[in-house]
Amino acid sequence: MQFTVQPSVLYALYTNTIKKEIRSKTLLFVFLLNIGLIFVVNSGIDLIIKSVEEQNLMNLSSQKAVVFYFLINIWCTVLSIIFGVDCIKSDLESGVASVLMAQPLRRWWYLLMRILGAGTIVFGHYLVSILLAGLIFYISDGTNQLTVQIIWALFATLLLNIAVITLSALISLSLNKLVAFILAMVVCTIISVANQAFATDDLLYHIKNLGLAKSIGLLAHYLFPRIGLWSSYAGNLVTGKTAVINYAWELPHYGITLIGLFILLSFLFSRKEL
Amino acid sequence: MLEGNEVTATDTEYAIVARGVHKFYGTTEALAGLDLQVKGNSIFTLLGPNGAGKTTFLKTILGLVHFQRGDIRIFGKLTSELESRAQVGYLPERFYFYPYYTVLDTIAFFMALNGVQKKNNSEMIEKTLEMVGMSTLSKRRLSTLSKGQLQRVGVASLLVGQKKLLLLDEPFSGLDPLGTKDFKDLILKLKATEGKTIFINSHGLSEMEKIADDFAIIDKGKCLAMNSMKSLLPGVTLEDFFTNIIRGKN
Repeated sequence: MQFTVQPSVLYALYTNTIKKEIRSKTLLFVFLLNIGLIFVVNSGIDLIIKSVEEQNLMNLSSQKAVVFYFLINIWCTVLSIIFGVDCIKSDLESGVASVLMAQPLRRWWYLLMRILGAGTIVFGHYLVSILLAGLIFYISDGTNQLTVQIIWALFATLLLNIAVITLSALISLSLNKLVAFILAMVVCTIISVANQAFATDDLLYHIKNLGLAKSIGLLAHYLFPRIGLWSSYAGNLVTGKTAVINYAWELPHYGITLIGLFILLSFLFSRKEL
Repeated sequence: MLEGNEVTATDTEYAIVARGVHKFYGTTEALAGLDLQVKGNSIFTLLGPNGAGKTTFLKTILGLVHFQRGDIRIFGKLTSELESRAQVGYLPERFYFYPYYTVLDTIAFFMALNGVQKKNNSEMIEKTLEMVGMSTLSKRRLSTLSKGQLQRVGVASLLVGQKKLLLLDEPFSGLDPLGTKDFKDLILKLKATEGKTIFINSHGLSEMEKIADDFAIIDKGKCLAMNSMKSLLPGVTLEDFFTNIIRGKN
């Protein structure tokens, strides 16, 4: 047997993650909530269209998918945190992790496939929700609500999800699920706020008059994947606002910080006694 | 209380050779320079009171627990090498896997994890399930199985991985008398027909006396005795010997 990366082993771990996470009651609950939302948005906008459009205030009839996207985006990060915390922690708690790690596997193979599997579930959930919404809106009023921008926004959201899942998995290693969930929410909020605060000005400008809060903000902004930036980028794409992002800087930054997070996660997990 | 020689077969292939293994949890020494040799194609049992370091030692073999000093070799390969783990299968005291998996799914998953080629999958699974007596339950979900049946699934998952050394942690714990007997028979069959080496951590002295070839007794992380089961003098049970060793009367 060779011990280079084996695609069949990675695939087995990946499908195992999908099978494991797809049974999550949270996923089912959020999906049912989304279906409810689709109908609420559909009938709600139909209702206000009459009063708003008659006064020519704005054109809402083509905005149903946008409104829906924004509503489901509210818990996008929350769902990623839930899956991020659960994907490894549940194996550690149940004893499955020790059975799996007793196999001839590198620990980072396992971590990578757990994160990608959880990312697929979250992404798949949003994709299905959006497509379903588009279908129902189409049946309802005959307009195609799914624009290319929404699809691109979903891919930006995927980047965001993977980063949040990795961060949450890291936080969950030595904490119980509830504490890890709360801490991951706090950290993600700090990063998002920092991304908004430091997005425009350059580093040299910010380094002047450094205080504690500013230092924490700068660390969050530069050392972690910019989840706030990718989230607002996705939002701008959907609403048709000018979605400006410096790909040449932000994509490598995302890649390097995500790999950094993953290396840290792998290092801590490799030292963990199971 | 003993006759014959200690286990020192230097010229036979050893499944496990541990030399001077030290493991600390903070300031507590869980393994205090443990030395141990397990011969290939044998049933070896590691005995000791609670907290003696049995499970810690077993987990060090698998790399689940890191040790600070010493070395452990599996069929000549250091445990730090991933290749060594390809030879070793581990059955925890309570085999747990995702309850919604069927027996077949579980076996197929462990086959895939061990990189076993798909060509002869179904034939191998069939043969393995027959070996562990689970052929008729292959489509059942794990959540519907008894503890004894789960243990058998655990053993099947080791066999499809084509492991030469099976590490069983308290395999009889929680089994009823029939389950215990069936599991003992299975262990003997694995040694005799499959040529496996079986390493068992156990408190069940009477069971071990009947099936093990060799044994070691450890306490406070040190090996106090290592012998062949045949070396026990007539009239002296393993329980007598164990009690005397642990209480320091030997």
